[in-house]
Parts: sequence; structure tokens; C-alpha cells
Amino acid sequence: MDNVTSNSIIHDLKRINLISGKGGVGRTTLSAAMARASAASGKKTLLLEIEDDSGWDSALARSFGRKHFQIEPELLEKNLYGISLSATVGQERFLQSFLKLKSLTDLVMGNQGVKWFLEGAPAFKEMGVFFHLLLQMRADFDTLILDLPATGHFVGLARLPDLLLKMIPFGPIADRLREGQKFLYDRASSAVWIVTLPQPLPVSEAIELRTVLQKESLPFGGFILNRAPFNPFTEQEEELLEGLSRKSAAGKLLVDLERIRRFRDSRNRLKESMGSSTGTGSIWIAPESLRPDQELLMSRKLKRVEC
Amino acid sequence: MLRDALYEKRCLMVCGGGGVGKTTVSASLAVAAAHVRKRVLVVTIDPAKRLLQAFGFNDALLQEGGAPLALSGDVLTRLGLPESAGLSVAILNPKWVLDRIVAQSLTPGQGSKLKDTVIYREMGQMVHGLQEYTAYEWVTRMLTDDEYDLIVLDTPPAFHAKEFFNAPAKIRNLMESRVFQIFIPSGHSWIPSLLTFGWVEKLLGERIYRESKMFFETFTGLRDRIIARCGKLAEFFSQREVAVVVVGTPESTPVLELEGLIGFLEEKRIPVEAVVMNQVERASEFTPEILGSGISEELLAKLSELKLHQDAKADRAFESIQRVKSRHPGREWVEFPMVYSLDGFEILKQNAAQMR
Repeated sequence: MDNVTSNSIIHDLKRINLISGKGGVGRTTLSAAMARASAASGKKTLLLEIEDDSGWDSALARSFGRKHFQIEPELLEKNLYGISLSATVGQERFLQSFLKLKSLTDLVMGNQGVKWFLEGAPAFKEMGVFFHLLLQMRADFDTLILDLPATGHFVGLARLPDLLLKMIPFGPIADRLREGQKFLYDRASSAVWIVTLPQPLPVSEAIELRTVLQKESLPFGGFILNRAPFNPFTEQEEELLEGLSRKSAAGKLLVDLERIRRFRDSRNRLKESMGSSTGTGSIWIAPESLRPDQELLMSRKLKRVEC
Repeated sequence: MLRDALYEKRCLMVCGGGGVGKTTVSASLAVAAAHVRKRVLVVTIDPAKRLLQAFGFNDALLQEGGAPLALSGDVLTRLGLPESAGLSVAILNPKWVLDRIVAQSLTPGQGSKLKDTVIYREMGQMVHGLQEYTAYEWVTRMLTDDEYDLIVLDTPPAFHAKEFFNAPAKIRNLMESRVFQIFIPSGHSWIPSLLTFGWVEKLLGERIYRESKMFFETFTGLRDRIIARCGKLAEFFSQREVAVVVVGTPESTPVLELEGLIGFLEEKRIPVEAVVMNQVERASEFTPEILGSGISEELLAKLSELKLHQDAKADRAFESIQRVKSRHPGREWVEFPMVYSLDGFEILKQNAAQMR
């Protein structure tokens, strides 16, 4: 058996936590669970998501009985706030901080040309989101948990400052971008968590994503291996069953065991990928549960694998 | 019927939320089609190259320019196809498509000017809907070239599956937006835009102003073409030879997303050929007798517990699917099981067999 300790993942959380992972790995559920656990431990916690202009309800907000989060931190439960980061709000706040006067901001934002520019020009939406995030990072929350969108790799948001700084090396926007970078690149205050599933391809993608993080010098918090299968067996029993399933007709029928084997392979691959580098970070295991509402309480059941 | 579609259609668009297995379903459809059609192509925009892996190619085989790769006889055999079958796979890089459009629409001088701007270089990341747009552009071209009987398109992962269908409108809005006019001095001088110049330059600095101006000036040459294309794409789905296949899984969040997508497509009057429920958990087939004697009571009890666990999951999946089906009567549903114990080829082979 692995040396598994059950201390909570919330002790490992940094002040700013970016939760990443491909679609369908349970990222949103885990973000909600971690935020609840953090708030329950007495930390003033902010759960963030990025607005989505499709007009569909937010899955994250739904787990708190809402259709959407607001554009300002809104109290969801004791110690727990939620917010939806918005491009337009970010752009507006930025202009206001730059122009100082609200009336002047309104005048500029009201200018049709500026509106067209902000809506249409590439990357300005992301910049608005980034500035809205920066404002939250500056605020007095003890813990921030950002559920990143599944689209491609999240690195987009983290790379944005770099990309824009190439085009805008000086001035007020550059200053804000650098300030945001300072928050995100600081190991002491930030961590990116990669959620994945115990299957070969998702594990490969998670390992690949961590390599990208290292290349970009973004601090890595750990892997969260979600939906670990129910496994009542000891290691000896597993070996015995594996032997049995290799011979005779039993092999075909012990499909359920295959799931356990895949999980073990996944965990070992993640472990190996971490072993080859000196960086910090750990692997956390989240069990599969039968009903989605149980999953929300799951963070207490997250277990750390000693590497 | 999905089976008929495999015989008759020229393009199948496979869409669905993240993590539901669009790529596996696309590959399975392509394998099924390759039994009855001569030249089948399955194409993805997935940067993770899952599709190539599903067919046993390694990344090194990814070709510049996105030329399709034909499956070897060996792979075809493992997929249960005759060696004479014609099945190819392609990965689409939006950048290649865009470069091609640039080469066709601009003079070499203008083209290299455009390609020099940071905005163009990072465009895939910076412009929403661009990936999707290039997929349409590419598929349309492939259909016109008539090198393939059927193209199966694995749509890109997105925030929401419906973004794929909104992409042409989004790109068109951007192309038609006045942002171009801000940067492009037109014949009739226009005072509000002059006002904006000052603000933009002051706020952003001289560099991005210059870059943006260069980008928008040269990109203008592509606008008319892209706007015209986007207009035509609205009709793309109403063509009789194009069919949409929606993919979901029985889990609670994916089901909500699936139903949202079906509703959205109904609203847009885009016909849905079939709904594929992927990763459906099946009941455990284990019985203690299989193991024979020599197993301790304790271990048997644990095995039974594991079996109960699996059966509960299967029940949950079954109920979930029944509920969804009852809400959408008259639709064709196809179920692909959750499989752990097979290699990738075997999964595709079995899924394909189920559809034929």
C-alpha cells in the first residue's frame, strides 16, 4: 500500500489557487469542494470563475443554488464568497483607475469608438478579465480559488501578461500586467493545481501541462487524481486477483479490477513524472462517489500520496 | 438513422461538451463508415492530438500543412477493416489554414507585413471563434476538392459546445465591427474615430497602436472574403449532405450540457442526426463461480462489494439515460459502453460494429 496521509488539502493551498484541467475531469466540482473546505477552516475564501458569454447557467454557481455569480464578491455561505470575472467590468475599472474621475470614465466608455475597440480588438477581453482578477488578488481574501475554463490549456490566461507586454512594454497597462504577474509567479502566494482522471490520456495531458507550467515558471501546487475507484483490496489480494484474471475465463469478467489497475498505473505515472524533478508539489487522490452532491463534501476525503 | 448517414452523408460533425469522448466517437464513426465508403477522412483540431494516438500514430507523424495521413494495412486489420479500406486522419492547425487564406487573398508584400504583427502571430489565441472558423473553411475546401467521400469532424473543445455553431457569426461581427474603421483612415474623415486615436495611443502606448494599425490595415484585404464565407456557413448545416451528431455521457453535469445543446440546435433549426451516449457504465459480469475454489471468504465478500458498486453505477447510468430519452422522444440514441479492459483499437472496432 502507498503511504497515504489524510491531512487535508486545504493546508497545502496557497493564497491564490488556479484550478486547471480538461473538460469533464471534475474541475468545477473540486473547485467548489475546496472552496467550501477552505471557508469551513475559518479562512475568508473567494471562489472565482470567468464569465462566459454563451448565456448558459454556470455549473459552478449551480452548486451554490444560483444561476450565475455576480460581478462583485457575493456572500454564498459563511466565510465563502463567489464572483464571476468579467471583461467589461475589468476594462471599466481599469480605465477608472487610470482616469481617476468616474464621469470621465463614463465619457470614454460611452464613446462608440472605444466600445468598438474594446469589444473587437484581440486580447482586450482577456485583459479585462485579468484586471478584474488583479482587483480580487489585491483585496483582503485569505484564499482565492479560481476555476479556470476548460478551453484548451489555461496557460492562455497565465501567458497573457507576457504576450501583451511584448506589445505594450510601458505605461499604465504594463504596470498592472506586471503587478498581476508578481502575484501569479510568486511561489509563496500562488499555485496551479492540475485535476486529472485515472486514465492513460488524461494523465499524459496532465503531465504535459505540468511541463508547460515549468517552462513558464508558474508555481505548481500538485496533481489531483479525481474519481479514484472503490478499492477494498490489500496489495496481496490485488496480486492474487491479478494472477487469477490472467488465466482462465475469469480474466474477461474481472473488468472491475481493470479500473483499479488503471488507477494504480495512473498514480504511478504521475509519481514518476514528479520524481524526475526537484520541484515541490504533491499528488492528491479524490475518490469517485455515487452521487454528485456527495462530491461536494469530498474535499475532506482527499488523500495525499507520499512521493 | 445514423447508419444511413454513414452511407449517404458527406460530412458528419461530432459535437458535445468537454470530456465526453468526442474524439473516440468520431474515430468510431469513421471506422464504421470505412466499412461502406471508399475514402473516409476523420479530422480534429484537438491540440492534444488524441486522434492520432487513437489510431496509433505518434506525434512525429504530424505533418506540416495538415496533410491527411492514411492508416496502414496493419492498423486497418486491427480495426477490423479490410486492408483495402481507405481511412485517413488529419489534424487541423488553424494557423495553416489562415496562412493559406493570406497567401490567396493578399499580395506577398502585404502578407508578410501582416504576418510580422504580434497580433497575427498570436491570433489563434487572441481571436475568439477563429479555430472554429478555420475548421469550416477547411472542411468546405475538402468537400469541394472531392478527395473524400465522407469527412468526420471532431469539433474543438470549447467552453460550451454551442460556441462551435456561433463562431461564424462571432467572426463576422468582428470583421464588420467598426474597430477596423478606427484604424483605417477612410475617405470620409470621421471625428469620433479621431478622438479615439488619441485615447488609444495615450493609454496603450505607441507600439501597440502601430502594431494594431498595421494589422487592421493589412487584414482588411481578407475581410470581404471572410465575411462572405461566414454568410455561407449559416447555410452549411442545412445542406442535405451534412449531419450533426451530438455526444454526451450519462453523468449529471454532462447531461445538462447535452440537453442544452440539443435545445440550442433545435432552436437554430440545425437537424441532429443522432445522439451518442458515451462512457455508459455496464453492470458487473462477475460471479464467484468463475474463480473456482481456493478463494477466501473474506476476498469473496470484497469482490461482491466491488460488484455491488459497479452495479449501482450501471443502474444510475441507465436511469439517467431513460430520463433524458423520455424528455426527447423520437430521437435516435446510440450507446457506447465505458470500457477499461480493451486497447484503443478494440474499443473503436466494437463501437463501430455496434453502428453497422
